[in-house]
Amino acid sequence: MKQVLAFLASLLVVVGCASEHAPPQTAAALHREPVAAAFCMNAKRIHYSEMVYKVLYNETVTHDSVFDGLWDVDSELSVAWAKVLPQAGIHSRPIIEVLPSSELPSDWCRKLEDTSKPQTLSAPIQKALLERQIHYLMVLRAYQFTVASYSIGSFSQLTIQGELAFHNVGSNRQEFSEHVSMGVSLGSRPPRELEADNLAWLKQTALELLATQGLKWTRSALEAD
Amino acid sequence: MNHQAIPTRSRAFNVRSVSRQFASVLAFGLAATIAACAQRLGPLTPVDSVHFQIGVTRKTDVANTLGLPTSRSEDQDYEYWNYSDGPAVSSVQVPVVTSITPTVVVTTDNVAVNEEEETVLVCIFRRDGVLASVRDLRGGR
Repeated sequence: MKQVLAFLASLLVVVGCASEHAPPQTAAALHREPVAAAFCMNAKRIHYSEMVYKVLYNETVTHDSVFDGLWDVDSELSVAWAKVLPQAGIHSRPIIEVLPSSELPSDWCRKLEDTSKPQTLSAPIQKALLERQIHYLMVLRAYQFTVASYSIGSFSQLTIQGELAFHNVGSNRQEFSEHVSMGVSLGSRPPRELEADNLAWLKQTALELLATQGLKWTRSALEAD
Repeated sequence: MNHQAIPTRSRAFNVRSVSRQFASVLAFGLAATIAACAQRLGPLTPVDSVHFQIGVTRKTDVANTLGLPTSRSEDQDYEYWNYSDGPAVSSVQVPVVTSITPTVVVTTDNVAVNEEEETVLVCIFRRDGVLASVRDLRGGR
């Protein structure tokens, strides 16, 4: 059972890698221009779900664990994301190093996601980035951490669903975005151990996902058609 | 003599066979029941067995004992960590026989339950991260 679930999980990840490509002029500009990198997570939480076998039926139970205020996931993973991007030929700096926190409101990334209007940076952020010679912004947005477990086989998988977007700061226009999905098996280890020891396992797993699957999604997006 | 002995041995064999089958069914039933209990999303430590010291225990101590809170809020002076005593049932999948001829077809019916996690314990921290008070909400149930 464990092997079957592991196979299905890996199949999902492989299927999820069939990505789109950015316009050639955007990809070329990203390789040429100074770029700011930002990782944003909409809900700072781990959403667990488990399918529990009850002999005559199955039950799905859910639990949320929030880490808002305990781990600055956006800052830590923005720095990690900027360190990964040179492997895709992008020379970037994390946005929190480019702009001081006084110029970066905590909800700036959330506002950029608002699809009810054109996705533009606020005028002060756009101005501040251009003043620092930043012409592109690469945003890797995650909705939350999701952990799916199955009581039969004691198997769990961590996934990060989200969006990869390339924003032209000069024209204040989003030139590319696509849905991304990153996932990894947690094996048979109890999933709530992700929270133990100041989230050590969760932090390590998130960094590994960025460095491997996050990089793959970026490379793929920058490839020519 | 032989004619009487053979049926006796045969009956003994049948009894053993039936016992073995019964044992197998019992073992399978037990295994299924044990597997049915293997839910892994409960609190890291049962809420009943934790002991925190007001004015001493810090946020990291609470997080390492109970895990992260289910929800969190704050006001000017305090931060509130809300804990539930277990996960909530979101849905139930029930097998339904949709056809019996020519072959038996069983599908799964998904029934939404949408239970919400109920807060049973609130840990209230001062701005410096030290526990100010604990509200146990289970008494009011």
